[in-house]
Amino acid sequence: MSSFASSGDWPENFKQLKTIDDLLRCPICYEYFDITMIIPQCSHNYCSLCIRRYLNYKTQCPTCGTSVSEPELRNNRGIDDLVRQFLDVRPRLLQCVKSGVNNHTADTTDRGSTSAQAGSKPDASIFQHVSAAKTTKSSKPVTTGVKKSPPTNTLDRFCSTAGTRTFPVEDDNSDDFQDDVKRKRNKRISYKESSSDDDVEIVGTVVTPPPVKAVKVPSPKASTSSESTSAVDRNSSQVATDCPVCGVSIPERHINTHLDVCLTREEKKESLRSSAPKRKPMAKLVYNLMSDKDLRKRLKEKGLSTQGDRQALIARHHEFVLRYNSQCDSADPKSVAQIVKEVEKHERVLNKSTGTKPAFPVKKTSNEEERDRVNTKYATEHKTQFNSLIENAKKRMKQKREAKLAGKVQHKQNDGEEKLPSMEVDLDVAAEEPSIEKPSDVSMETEPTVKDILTEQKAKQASTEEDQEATVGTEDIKEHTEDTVEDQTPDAPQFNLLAEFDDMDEKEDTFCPDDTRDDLEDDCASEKSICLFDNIQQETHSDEPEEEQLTESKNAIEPVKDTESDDDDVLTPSLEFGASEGSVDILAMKPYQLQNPTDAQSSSSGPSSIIDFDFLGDDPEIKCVPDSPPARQLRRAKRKMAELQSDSDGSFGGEQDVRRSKRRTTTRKDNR
Amino acid sequence: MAATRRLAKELSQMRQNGIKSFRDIQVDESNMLLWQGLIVPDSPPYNKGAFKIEIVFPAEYPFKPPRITFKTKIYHPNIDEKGQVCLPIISAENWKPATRTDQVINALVALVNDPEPEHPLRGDLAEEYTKDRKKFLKNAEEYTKKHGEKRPAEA
Repeated sequence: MSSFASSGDWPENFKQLKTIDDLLRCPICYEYFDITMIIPQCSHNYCSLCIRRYLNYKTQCPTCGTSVSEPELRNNRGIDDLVRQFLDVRPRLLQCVKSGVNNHTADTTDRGSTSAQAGSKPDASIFQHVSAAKTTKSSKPVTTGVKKSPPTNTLDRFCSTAGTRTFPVEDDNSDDFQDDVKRKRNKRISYKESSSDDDVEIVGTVVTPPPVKAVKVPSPKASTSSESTSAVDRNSSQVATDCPVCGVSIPERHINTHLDVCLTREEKKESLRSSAPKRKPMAKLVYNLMSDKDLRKRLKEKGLSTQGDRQALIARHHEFVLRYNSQCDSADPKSVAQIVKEVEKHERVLNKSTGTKPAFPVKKTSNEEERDRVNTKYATEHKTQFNSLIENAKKRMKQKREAKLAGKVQHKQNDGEEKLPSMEVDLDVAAEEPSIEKPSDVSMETEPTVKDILTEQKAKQASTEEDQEATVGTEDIKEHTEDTVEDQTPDAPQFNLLAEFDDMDEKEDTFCPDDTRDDLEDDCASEKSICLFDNIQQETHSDEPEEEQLTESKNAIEPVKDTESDDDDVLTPSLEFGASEGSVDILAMKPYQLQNPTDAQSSSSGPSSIIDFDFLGDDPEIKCVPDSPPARQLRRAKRKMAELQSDSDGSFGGEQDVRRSKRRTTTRKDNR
Repeated sequence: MAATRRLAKELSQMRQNGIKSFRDIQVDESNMLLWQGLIVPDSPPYNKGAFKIEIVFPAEYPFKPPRITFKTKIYHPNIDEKGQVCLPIISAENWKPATRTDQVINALVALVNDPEPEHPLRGDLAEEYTKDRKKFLKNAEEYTKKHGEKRPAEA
């Protein structure tokens, strides 16, 4: 493949050849130019596709930074031709150069190409040599079985001596290489430069017998032929010449009459015009403004796949437009189908490298069997996951039911008690504890044992009571809180924990009003307040792959859980603080408190804290988390965060009813 | 992929030409986008050791620039503790796809040999470099001896 031909192939003492090689390569892809485009402002050249791709990133020349836009690009066909010729000769040139490194004369170079000549030439006269090479060449077609009537020997010699050293093209040593090159360039023979036209193209071309010499060029270029015509004019007036239109060889003096006839024929006229009408580049689309449907329609129009998400669709269409437009620059553009194939290939390679697979590898067109197969495969693959999810859900349901029953009994025993964990306490604990762990760790450790549950229920009762009081103030919260109260008595959440954190360490004194979680889940679902928890989720991370909603709401609750276990010495200051204020505050205040716990402390209702601490010290089991405010409250509380932080005397707006009433409770307790 | 092809070319050229100050280029054939190598500075105080670097090429290369990080600790005003380098030639706004990797590496070696205290990543070292060159050189040399890699034998 030509792509593996590197400019480093050239030997050291042929630096110029290396430079030439480098100069014929695009500075972006390091391949030989493919449809060269020049930036007129700075004269730098690139492959059409490369420069168009780059201009999507930055509208400037990749080499010098001159600003440029796509419509300003111009073809530089001269370089295309140069590349083609260079690639033709490259393998042989390389061979010669390498074999005769010490003997670098034009002679050796040529000897390699025409092996029949076996280097007997004196390198003194290049001209002589070239004409000799010509003879070889003109005899060569005969040997290869292709007949060529040498029409204008003088012309031949004229052209070759005039500058370009044309090597007759053999099909032997350089076959593969050329094939590659030609394939790459879509076998555009019509662009061979005039001097080599005769040489290159006639080889392997079927030739009709004289006197009509057939240069069967697929789409004859007017310029090419007319050039040779003029050359002939100069050389001899009696020589037959090719008709520029039909390519038939005509005696010179008859050419004009022939041309008149020729030109009246319709189809011939067509070929005179610059090949096919130039393809128009596709307009760039503003994908942001397009609907998926529209996008799919456009893809379908071109025969592109419409699979994948929106991003994939956009990427695909964009790639197609890029490639299509770059082909528009070509004199012989590839067909749309070909471009589509290329786009698909490109996408496959990209996907392979990034490792993304389509989630569901079934096409609309694939039959039912196939779909079934894929479905069952997916089901078996993820069976364990499904099972564990089902198991979890079942367990939770069961536990909740049990806990409710147990809670009702407990409820009556504990009615007198009122407990509020104070943030002071929590903060103190935190201060004493050097080992402050991440919230998630804490939650991991809070595994309630069945034994604990009973004792904890007591504490829960206390919190429930308090909650009830808190609700008194506000009407709209009331129902929510009541729900909470009901749920809080039972220990359902703890079982949740069990189910979810299978390998948690056992802990005493953990009390988790996780029913709050359930409430929250409900709220999330009903109020679509999931967004609420976004921030929270970033702060506390969950360890469980569950449905998104669940995880999110769980995350929201986790801090609450943690506050419960404050006696266990593993508390982050922010969480502890939160305990005194209720989960609303925890969540809202968290970032702030992390930075400055003291301030946060002062902002909450101060007086109660010390007493609370004593109280809690006496009865460690009663560290309850106040309440699980409904999501709506959460939202409000969040909004009020700023106020909260600065407001030390506890005068909150009407929306903070829960908090205020809670505080009231605290004070009352203190007094008591 | 375009990036891989170009990188393969660049790599083979670099291996062929050999850069005096960048040795032991290791590239996983299956992932051309990650290169590792050894920077071997030739001016004091860094000429007492070698420094391992990692070059990460984005999938969009050469349309987007590669990133370079030092894997060996170095006492240098322009290279921070994490090994990040501030190299203008590969900054997003200056990057040109025509830039070859050997040019990038040459620029990096030049920066290592000649620190630019005007654009420091580590202000303290830059200050030391400008105010007390002797002390800086001493520290840097010690640091290099302590943390630097062994220099490969002269090729």
